[in-house]
Amino acid sequence: MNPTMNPPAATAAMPRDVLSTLVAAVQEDPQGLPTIVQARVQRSQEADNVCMMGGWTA
Amino acid sequence: MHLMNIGHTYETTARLVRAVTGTYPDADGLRTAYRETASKLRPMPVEGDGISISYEDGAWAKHCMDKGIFEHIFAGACHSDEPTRTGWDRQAIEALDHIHSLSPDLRRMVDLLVTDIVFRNSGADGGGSASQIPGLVVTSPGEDWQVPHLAECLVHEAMHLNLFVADMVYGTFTLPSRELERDEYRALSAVKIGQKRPLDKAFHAAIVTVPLMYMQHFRGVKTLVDLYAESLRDACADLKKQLPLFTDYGQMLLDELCCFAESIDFDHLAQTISSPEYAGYKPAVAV
Repeated sequence: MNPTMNPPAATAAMPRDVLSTLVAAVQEDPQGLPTIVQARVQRSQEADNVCMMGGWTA
Repeated sequence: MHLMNIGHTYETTARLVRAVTGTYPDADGLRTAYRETASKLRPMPVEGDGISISYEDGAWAKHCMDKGIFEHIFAGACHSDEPTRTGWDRQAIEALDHIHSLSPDLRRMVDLLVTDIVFRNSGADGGGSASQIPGLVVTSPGEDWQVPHLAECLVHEAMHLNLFVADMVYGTFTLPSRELERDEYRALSAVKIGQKRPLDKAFHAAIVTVPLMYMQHFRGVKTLVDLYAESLRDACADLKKQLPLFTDYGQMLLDELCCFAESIDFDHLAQTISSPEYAGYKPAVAV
């Protein structure tokens, strides 16, 4: 399938109050989640430093 | 696609902030809170409120060279004179404005996740970011780069940084990166066309083709769209063979990526960047 070449219709940015609601909702996360994330962060710090690099133009 | 969505980026970043600092940020303070978080996770803290720019004689360049980070970018690099640096500074500001003109929410994503840009003169043009240096983007602009090229670089690297944050918060793979280098876990790269890459790197490469194609399509350029439309489908087919190595969250991202690869629908992609439909992700916690 060939991709269409017409620029997409302008899309409004996400309203600020929606972003605020989404961020506030993080406080409703399960109680154990921050501890799980802390453990993942710790593992990430102890593992290899994954480097993503390269050129991408044709 | 959740990873393109600004709401999902905000909620994921907020979860990282909570885990690292112990405090819940609000949306208005998220950028500052993320910078505080990044400062705890990386070798040098975030300085100031804006995006800090440095060059080959800066602290970040020295750190990367000392640690052998981004050797591809730093090898063969030469000194940048004052007019070159002034030009890079100006181009960075114009690139951010260009991103905003294409998508205010992609600009928000860059503003949130990018804290430092290191410019270098190198024989290889491109950029780099790393999982243990949140916020840092290193770039070696090509001689013929104009504002849109740098803009695409910044969004490209912001998407890598976004995926690193998501990986810390939700997990993307069931094995660590080093394990994913094994031959049996490799997958085709959408960018290094025809090459098999470690699974996490192949996934990153596939993900970042999406905003690059979007930005070029939006300004009426076919180069990357033509290049990646086929390679992305091939990469997705290969990535799907490794589905058991993706977590539930990783499988969701892969599924969305594959759907885009089949449709290359930029109108839909524009909606996924800003629609609340692709935010509000609730990670499950095993009891």
